[in-house]
Amino acid sequence: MRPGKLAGRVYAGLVYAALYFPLLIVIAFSFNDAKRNLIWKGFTVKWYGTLFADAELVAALWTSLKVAATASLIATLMGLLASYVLVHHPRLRAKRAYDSALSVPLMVPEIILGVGLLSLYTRVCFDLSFWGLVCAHVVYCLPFVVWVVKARISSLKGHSVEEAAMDLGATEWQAFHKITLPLAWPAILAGGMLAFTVSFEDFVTSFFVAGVGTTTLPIKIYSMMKFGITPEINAMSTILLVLTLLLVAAYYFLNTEKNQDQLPV
Amino acid sequence: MTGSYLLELKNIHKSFDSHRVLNDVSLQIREGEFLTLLGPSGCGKTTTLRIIGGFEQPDSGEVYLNGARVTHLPPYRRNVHTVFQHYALFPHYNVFENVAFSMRLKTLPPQTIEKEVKDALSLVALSGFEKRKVSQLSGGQQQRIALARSLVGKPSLLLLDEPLGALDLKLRESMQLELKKIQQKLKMTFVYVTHDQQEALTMSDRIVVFNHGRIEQCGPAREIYEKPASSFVADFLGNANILAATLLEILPGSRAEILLEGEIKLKVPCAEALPVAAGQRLCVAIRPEKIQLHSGPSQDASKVSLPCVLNDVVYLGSSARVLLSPFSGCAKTIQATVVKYGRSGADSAGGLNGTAPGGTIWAQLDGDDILLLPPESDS
Repeated sequence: MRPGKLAGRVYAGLVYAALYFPLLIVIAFSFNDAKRNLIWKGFTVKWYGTLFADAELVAALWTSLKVAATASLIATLMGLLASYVLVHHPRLRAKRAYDSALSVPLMVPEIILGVGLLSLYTRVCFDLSFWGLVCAHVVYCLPFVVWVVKARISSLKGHSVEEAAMDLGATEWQAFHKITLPLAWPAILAGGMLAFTVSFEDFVTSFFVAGVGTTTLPIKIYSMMKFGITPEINAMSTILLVLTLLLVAAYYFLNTEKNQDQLPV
Repeated sequence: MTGSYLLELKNIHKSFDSHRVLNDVSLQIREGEFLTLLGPSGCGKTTTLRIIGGFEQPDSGEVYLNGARVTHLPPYRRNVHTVFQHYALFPHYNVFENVAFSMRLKTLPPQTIEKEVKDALSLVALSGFEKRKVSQLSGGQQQRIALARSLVGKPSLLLLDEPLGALDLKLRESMQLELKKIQQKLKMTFVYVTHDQQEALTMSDRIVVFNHGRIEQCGPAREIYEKPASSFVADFLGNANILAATLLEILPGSRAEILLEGEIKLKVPCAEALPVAAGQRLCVAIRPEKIQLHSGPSQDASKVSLPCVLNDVVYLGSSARVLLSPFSGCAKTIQATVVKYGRSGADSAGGLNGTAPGGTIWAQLDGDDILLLPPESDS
């Protein structure tokens, strides 16, 4: 092997190691039979047991799931509507301004979004409860949904399938539910899953707007860290990681061309 | 007054973002007609079709269908169907459901739907394809299914937006004839959009030539080819050499004398109403196939012979295109079509007589083959 090629491989190996080694440590030490130290003592799954005996942790997991499910559902519905209007509205003024305004939350530093939401909520005395958190997450997730769903809807428009349906006698609503919805379905589902993932693993925004009783899992993990990194944290993180990876895999699976009814070119 | 026309467009204007796409377009279509909207891309022909279909609304002007004003009706409330450029078949339905779509919406009885789909598929020669998925069809087959799907609702008018554009030449030519046959069999009215002049000539009863959002000319194919109303039409439908001329004198018997490119006088036939008065400039068009090439000037007094420099010969298979520079001083290049090019011992009528590029050859014109046109506008 030429030295240049070898160097390239070593470099690539180091990059991937830097990316994945921390994750592997977390996973490995979640099975370590030792309390709070980083020396391997033997294999165990007991931390997963103690994890589910911890009522606060289970409550946090449950809160996270509820928030993510609700927020991603709302964000998906809103994102679908927004995508449809942005693509199909014939003479929407400043269409591009709306379009880019929707993706701003993707680029704004999340901490600013968090501070902004917090000061808004306290100003209008919005209870920092479950729905406050859901609202914050909807704001944060919406651009992700639009990003995925709009691409599909505008590709459908490019193929005039909705126009063909209306041409054959379908009203706008019939064209939407007989043509747009079935053809965009995998993208909508993928957008929803992406929103779920984003909401489920969100820390910064949640940290600002979560109140007592709405501690999400990432916040709970953070607070547990005050007493050092325990094997429970590793176990919980592993569960979080696996769940996220599954969702991301599902997203990629749904969003491939193979899985969407192919439009003839 | 909408009279007995099936479709009538009245003074349609349409702009997109201050860009004028249609400028005062008026058009009448009779029942059972095959009408082609022809023009280069961006000339407004597709926008006209979309206004008829209800996908766009004109800024001003009216659309009448069977005498009723439909200008602002949505597509689903017009008995007009469209065959889209890329077919727009529904990929999540099979062939049967695609064709049955309009009837399902009307909730017709299943037996009726089945029979109609069967008839439509046999009409486009795809019987037995009911259960196929759209993705399993070839481009030509998809095209036929799109046609069947649009025919099945018995629309009073079928709009076709460059439906053959994506097919290869052979398939396109056979589909052209087939489309025409189907149209005649069903006695249906077709409005067909294309930028392909050959396609327009093959199928149409009448052709409407568009340019820059305006109708340049409207009439039967033969009339448009033989009596183009403008130099644009003459050049777009078939090729034409457009030359500048001055009208010298109007002669009795529908003839006129002109001065061609400031060089030669000749007598040509002209219409009763000339576009310009004597002494003014105009354009003339000469079809490449009307120019004959000879090795010397003609002895025939009724013909004009121009000495030209042979620039180039483009071999086209069944014919060849010869590029000539006429009148030493003229910057224009004229084209002549030679049919018998390449034969050994090329004959004198239309042959090049072995003249090589750079050599001199005589282009012979018959005054009767020269078309007088209004001068080219600056716009």
